Amino acid sequence: MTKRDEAPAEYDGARDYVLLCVTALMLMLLALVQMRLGPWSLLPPLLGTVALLFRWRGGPVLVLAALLLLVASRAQGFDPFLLAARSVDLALDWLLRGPRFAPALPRSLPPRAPSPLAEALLALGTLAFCAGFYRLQSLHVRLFPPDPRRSPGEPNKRPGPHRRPAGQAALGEVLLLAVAAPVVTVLAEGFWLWLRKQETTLDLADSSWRGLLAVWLLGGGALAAAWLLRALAHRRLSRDEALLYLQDVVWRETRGEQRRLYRWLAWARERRRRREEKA
Amino acid sequence: MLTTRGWWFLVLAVLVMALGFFAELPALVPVGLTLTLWFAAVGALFYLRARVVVRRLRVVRTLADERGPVDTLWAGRPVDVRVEVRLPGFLSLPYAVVTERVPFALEREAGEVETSGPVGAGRTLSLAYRARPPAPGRVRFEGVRLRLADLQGFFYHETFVPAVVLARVLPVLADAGGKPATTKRHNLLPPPGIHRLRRPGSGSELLDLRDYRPGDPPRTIAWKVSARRDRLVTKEFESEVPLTCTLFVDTSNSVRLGPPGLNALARLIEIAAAVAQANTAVRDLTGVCLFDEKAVTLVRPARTARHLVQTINLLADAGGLAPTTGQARVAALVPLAHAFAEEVYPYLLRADLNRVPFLPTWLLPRPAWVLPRPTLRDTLHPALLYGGLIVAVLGAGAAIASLALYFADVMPPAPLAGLGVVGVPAAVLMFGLFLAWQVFFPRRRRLTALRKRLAALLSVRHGLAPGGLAALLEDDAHMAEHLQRFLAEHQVPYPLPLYDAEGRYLFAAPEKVAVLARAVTQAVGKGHDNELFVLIADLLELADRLEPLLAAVRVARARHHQVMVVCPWPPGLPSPNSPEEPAHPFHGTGGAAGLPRALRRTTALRFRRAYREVRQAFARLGVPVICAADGDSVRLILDRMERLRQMGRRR
Repeated sequence: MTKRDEAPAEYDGARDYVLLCVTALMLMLLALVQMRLGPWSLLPPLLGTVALLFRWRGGPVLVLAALLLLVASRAQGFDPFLLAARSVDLALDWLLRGPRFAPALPRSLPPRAPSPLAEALLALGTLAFCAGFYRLQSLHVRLFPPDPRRSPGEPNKRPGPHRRPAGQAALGEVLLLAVAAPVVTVLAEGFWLWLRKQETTLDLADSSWRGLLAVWLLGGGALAAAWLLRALAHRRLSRDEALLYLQDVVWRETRGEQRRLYRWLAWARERRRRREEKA
Repeated sequence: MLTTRGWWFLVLAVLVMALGFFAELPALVPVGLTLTLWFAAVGALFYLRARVVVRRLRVVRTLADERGPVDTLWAGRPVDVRVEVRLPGFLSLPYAVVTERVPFALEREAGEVETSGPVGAGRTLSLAYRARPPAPGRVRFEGVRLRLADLQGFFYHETFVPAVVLARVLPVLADAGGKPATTKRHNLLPPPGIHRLRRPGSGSELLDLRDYRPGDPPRTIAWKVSARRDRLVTKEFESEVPLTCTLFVDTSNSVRLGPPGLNALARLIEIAAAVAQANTAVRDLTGVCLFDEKAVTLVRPARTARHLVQTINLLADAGGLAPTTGQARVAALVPLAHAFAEEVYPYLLRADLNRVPFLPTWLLPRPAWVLPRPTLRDTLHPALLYGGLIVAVLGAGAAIASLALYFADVMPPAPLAGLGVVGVPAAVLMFGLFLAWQVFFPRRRRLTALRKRLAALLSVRHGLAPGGLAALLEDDAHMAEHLQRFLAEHQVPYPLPLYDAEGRYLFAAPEKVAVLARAVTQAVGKGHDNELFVLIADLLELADRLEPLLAAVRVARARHHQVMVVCPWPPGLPSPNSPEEPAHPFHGTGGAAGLPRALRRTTALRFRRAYREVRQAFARLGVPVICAADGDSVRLILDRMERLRQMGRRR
């Protein structure tokens, strides 16, 4: 068979997303090494790679949990293994015997705050991994939530999971993600740098104050955006939708009076029908 | 809109951020913030796509047969349906799944009804399938179901893009013999030597040659033939007065019952269409009168091609009519209509537009006295609530009065004190029972909620006044009528009760006899020549109520018109003209296992008896009754036309 006779190879978006995820894991490794976590830096990338290989649905959760453990132990200067074992031991003890005083762990490393670059790299790697991993899941496992309805043609069979065909994942969307993720990371890092400068005179730790500030700003922003989007959606209602909305408002405002009127009318009609039937 | 995956991701992102802030792990804060910002950006973009971009989608549907695009379909002939979803402008959807909603009146034969991919920015989604309309009527294409998700699967939105297309399904073309056409059918003039109007007259087509009779006009003399035969020969021409046939087609509820395409109406429409086409082919005039229980739709006799198209269109429209009855059960129709509306009108059932308040569904049941046929449950359910309220008021009043008397150093009477002590717990008990009923038997509550949402939708769709919503909520007959109209408009098959509470058949439609009699009398009054009136009507359930119709037929016969009756016959039952008579219903049925067989025999016997009675009633007037179960009903009608011609010739 000549080269011309061969069918053109279909573009495989899954491969590009795998590459993106691997790159993101490398970035995470770089950031963790920069945080001087030693061989423990390999834990999140390893977990991510295994999740990629076996298509585990909980891949991002595992990676984030590992990150949490490493960052928490590094911030406190504990050995991550000791911290994990101690946490499990404390949790079991608390469950079985109730809350008790626990002696402090010995510090194996001096506590150290990461540099902004390492933070940004870690955030970028995590975001790129999560986004790429979930996009891979939509190609391999399922994109839409399961539909409890049955297929029209096959009443005894529920439709299977809907996967996005790998051939439809274009290179452009991978590149767009590769561009958008750093932009979002820079925005988040900028926000965090601004938050870091905020201090309070209240009887609160500065970090908690920053947390409250972030919650108010993000929550308020989300509420404002939701209100704006809803207002825009209301401006774009079709004729039928607007009519239905107005009619619903009228009904809700006057439903007591209308209910009385129409119940009497229904009763009168029913009585007339019964009389006619008897006659 | 948010999927399980989306919820998990959001919770994780917020948790990481919260731990960063409140557990003093600053390295986690940028991670949490980045994930949260990303999630918010994806959500906002998806919301815009779902609410704004989707509204700009355009659905283009093309119907085509083997010769190209068509506007009308033919019953039984396949049609290729092609659907294209486009998004004009620069906006786009990165991934969408489009599913075509195949109309109930079409049977899909091949092809896919689902496609997926990106839409917009020059890209379209298209699908094609082949389907076949089984019977004449109308096919309504509603639009396409659209499912959207972001590429991560965090957000999901399902909606419907309406693109309503109505296409008529015409009956199968038939030739002069009433059989489906297999040859070219565009020759309006017959080949030389074939004379379809065999009555001599003053037309322009040569019919015959005969010897000259004194008084024949000289211009009719065939000079060449006369010279050859050495005697005067006269040319006879065809008659210019063709026969007129008026078809009275029953479209009442009695013939609409049954699955579309398999009901009696479909067969009657086929017969009428075949006769109309056969008559037009031989240049006879055909009129059509569609009648039901209330009204008559009349198309005056004519023979042009345009008239035939009008007649066939009218018959096709009648073929799609659905049965209705004021005694349909709302509780059976509401879930069906709501399921359909949820699929086709999801934008009118959105919770932000069409709200279901708490009080009417939980605490304000409809009292039994407004219901058409209240059951014990209908009576008990509100009685518990309202009875509980009354007992509570009485008990509280009695308790207050007893206490007042007690503090005034007067001993309260025992009944008053007893009512005060027992009333409040009794009220609490009754109210508790009512609430338990609502919680453990949620069907009624669910029905109320569905009914409210549907009532709002129907009120808007059917253009009711602002009080229409409340009227539909309170009045069962009103609601049943609108639900049936909604389902029939969208060609959704729905269940109907065949018998009322007293066991009477609801679809006999006796009113149609008077309507038909009036229509026949009017047609006789306007007829100019001997005509053929074909009554294609279901009269089997009305053998004892035919008197007005028989009177009208008598008038027609007295004016020398020909009348014949074609009765539809239930599919699956042996024809009344078949030689074997069904045995006694319970003969050899084998007990309870043979019950369906016995029922079938009983039905066959009942219909045979009814057919015999109708036949006898019309036979006294010299009117033949034909059963539409026979495949040759059309031929028999055309034979009758032929006999009319012969009669004219003999005269």
